[in-house]
Amino acid sequence: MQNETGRVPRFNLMERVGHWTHAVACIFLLATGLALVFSKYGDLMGPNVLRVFRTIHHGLGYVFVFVPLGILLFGTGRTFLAWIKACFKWSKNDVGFLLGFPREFFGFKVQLPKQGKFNGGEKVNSLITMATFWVMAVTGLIMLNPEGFSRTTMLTAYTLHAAGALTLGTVLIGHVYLALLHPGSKESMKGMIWGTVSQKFAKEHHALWYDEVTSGGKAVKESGNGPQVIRKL
Amino acid sequence: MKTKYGMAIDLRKCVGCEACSIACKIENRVNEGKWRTRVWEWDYGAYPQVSKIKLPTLCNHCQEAPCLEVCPVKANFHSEEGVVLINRDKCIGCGYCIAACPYGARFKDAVTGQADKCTMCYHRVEAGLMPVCVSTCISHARIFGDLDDPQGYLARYIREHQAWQVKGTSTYYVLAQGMDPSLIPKELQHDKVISLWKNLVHPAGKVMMGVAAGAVLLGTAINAVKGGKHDAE
Repeated sequence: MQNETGRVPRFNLMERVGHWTHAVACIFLLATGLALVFSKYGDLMGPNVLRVFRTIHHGLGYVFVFVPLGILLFGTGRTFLAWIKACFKWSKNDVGFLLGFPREFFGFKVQLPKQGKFNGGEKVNSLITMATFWVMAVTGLIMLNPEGFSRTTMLTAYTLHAAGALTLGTVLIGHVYLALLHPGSKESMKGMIWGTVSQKFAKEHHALWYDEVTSGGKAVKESGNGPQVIRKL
Repeated sequence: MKTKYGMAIDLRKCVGCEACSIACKIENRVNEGKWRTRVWEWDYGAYPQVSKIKLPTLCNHCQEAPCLEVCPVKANFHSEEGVVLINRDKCIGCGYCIAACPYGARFKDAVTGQADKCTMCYHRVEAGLMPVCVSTCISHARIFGDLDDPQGYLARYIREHQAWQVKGTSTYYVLAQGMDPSLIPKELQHDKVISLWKNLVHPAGKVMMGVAAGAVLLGTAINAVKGGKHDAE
């Protein structure tokens, strides 16, 4: 436990596959869909590319709706539901995090309150992801199967789909920055790729969660170069 | 001299033979099961004074056309004579205009994947002919011409027979005796959802994404200047 080079498991394989299928679908859907919102970008692509975009967008829409949800629900249902529950559970520390985080976002030092497995910012990101998932899925499926829907329903679906896309785009910009460019958050990227984070990162960024997984848990040193794994018993 | 094409339909004369609908399908090679112009049949009056009315409809060629407003690639346009046309090179088949049309005049062409609708037989009119629905009408119920020429046959017909304009559009109906005017297509009204979609959601969303991108650039710059420490283990 005291070993600073030990790794703490953060996301299991199914959670990571679920995250990345959702991420890839999201990025391609935004890249193809926002061409109809940012008209200069659309003009630059031209009608032939936009027609290909349309086909990609319509096909990928079904992937977005069904694949990540299926992987998370059937592959790792217990942790999936735990994540959802955690995101709806808010404490003073989460609010404190949100108040202090803007400084950290811009690279200034700030003392943030102890966080659980998901910090206040991650909870906000997760809740927006869940909300936009339903908005995009429902409106998208209506748009792909318009028969029988009224004109107002269709126009409302288009409006909400645009609002959801622009919200997702906004969140994605911040999300990618924190994952790839922000110096303080890089270890979290390893958590989402390899599944584990360093003990140092876990302690510094998710102290409450670290305490939780280490109390009653024990470090198991694997042979060779393998990571140390702490299992909750 | 400005020309503005329009059509008057004399409901006293239409017998519902559907020659117009069929001629249109042949002339314009309209998809099976789809129609650019239709003839509806409604009842009006109270028993025992009940009458049947045959009501042809088509694209009304709106002045402030919702289909033009929602098209993300500006494929819809007004010809010099006020005819709403689709630029086949530009249309990507997103279907927004189909949903936006208050008159149900548009549909998706299953062959090209693009939107399709009445063109007032623009290709025939350009060649000096009448739209095919007009020239094929056995009872001369459809009158085509220049609305801006007060001495022209169409303008005179509208005046002399007190035709009702579908307000905001280029279509006029001469009502049958005793007929309830609410049976003809409603006047064009500006749709609040379209305004919300195009005038609020799009600009606000773009600002949101712009602010996020700006914050990320600023954060990246600050971190670069400060040489922000990475969470190296």
